[in-house]
Amino acid sequence: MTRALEFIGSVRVSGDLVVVTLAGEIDVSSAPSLNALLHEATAANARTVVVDMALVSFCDAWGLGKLVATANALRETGGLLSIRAAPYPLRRLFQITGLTEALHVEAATTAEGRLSVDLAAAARQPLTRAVLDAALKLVVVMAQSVMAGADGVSVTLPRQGRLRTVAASNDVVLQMDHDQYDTGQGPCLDAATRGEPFDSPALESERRWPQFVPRARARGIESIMSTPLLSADRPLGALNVYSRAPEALASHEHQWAVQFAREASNVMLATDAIVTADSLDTEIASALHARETIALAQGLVMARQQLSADAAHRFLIDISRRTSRPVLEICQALVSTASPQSSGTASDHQYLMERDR
Amino acid sequence: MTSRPESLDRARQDAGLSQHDLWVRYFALGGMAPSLELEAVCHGAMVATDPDRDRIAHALNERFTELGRNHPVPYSEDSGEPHDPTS
Repeated sequence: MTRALEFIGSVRVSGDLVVVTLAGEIDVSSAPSLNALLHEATAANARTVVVDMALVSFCDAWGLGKLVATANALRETGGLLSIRAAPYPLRRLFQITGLTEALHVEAATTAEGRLSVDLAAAARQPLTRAVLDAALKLVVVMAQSVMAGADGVSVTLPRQGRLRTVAASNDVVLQMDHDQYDTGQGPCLDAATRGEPFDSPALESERRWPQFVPRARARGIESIMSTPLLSADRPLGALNVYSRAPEALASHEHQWAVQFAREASNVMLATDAIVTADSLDTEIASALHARETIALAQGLVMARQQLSADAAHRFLIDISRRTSRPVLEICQALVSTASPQSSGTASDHQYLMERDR
Repeated sequence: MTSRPESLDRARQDAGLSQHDLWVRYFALGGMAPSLELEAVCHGAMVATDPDRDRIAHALNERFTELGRNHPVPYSEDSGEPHDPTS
């Protein structure tokens, strides 16, 4: 299956404006890179930091927190952070978490709004599995952020004939799901296979699932709520909410769980549940990779040659035309030879024209 | 050959690319327009910005290069004359 795109980014300083371009998935594993990029951006002491998120496919709660912390730090020194070109799922995330204003999320242009739909639609399939997984991750992040008593949320779906966790808000809940798959019992399995909700408000007095419950308590979990994902009446999987406190998941949380389970079910139905278009995924993923490389090369040319974005793009296309080599190849050469030490030089053109000749 | 917009769709057919193939190539080159808009541009129903027009032209020309041909689709700066790298 297509792996998530790696996280990459760049920082461009131009007087009083800093543009941070991010691409790929933002989660804890991208922490070192994102921290370094945001640090570089704020260290420039510019008044405005624009974060371009057009190529960000996913941002978890940690990433959101990092953006908010950066926005707050900038505000204290009279600066401003603004989010540009965020795709629809991210804008929806900003909306639901109430961060649209705090992060100065720019309104979408019609074209951008429809682009993410296009990416998903990609002519034939409503959604590819990579997009489905990203959408489900978004659902678990949103679910955890609105349910006060939840210490973790996950989604279980059948994959390759077995139940698997396709989205989890943290490692503990991922482990909890695995404990159920290992022991062959637990509320998540029952909800996913029987299509009914299975709640256990206090594991201490729980008598069902005797092999699983001690494992859960050993990991500090005291209450669980598993809500089925349904298509008509057929079970598709389960949305699982875990809490470290007994009786922590009240009727308020139940309502949210039902709502998020419905949202996850709708996402699944939009993908025809089992997506077979792996080749399409690969096609879009490789187009995204190409796009990232070209954007990075464009950024390098902009910085080195002091060119505008459009002029830098023309510059790269021009070399491609003159050498009859694909622009991606030109950009890969440029990016692979770039090092932090390389200074602004007018020789890129010459170098790229003569390379491999 | 002129740079009349409808020639973009003829070039696409000539290059043996489907609308979807062209959109994926255009998208890889950094294009942001959804496929319907790209189709409209190719048919002359919409006018693209110069950078976007160049992305479409370049996506087509790279395909022509793969087919062992020259670059028949003009870029925005070419003022209507096809670009021939051998000239």
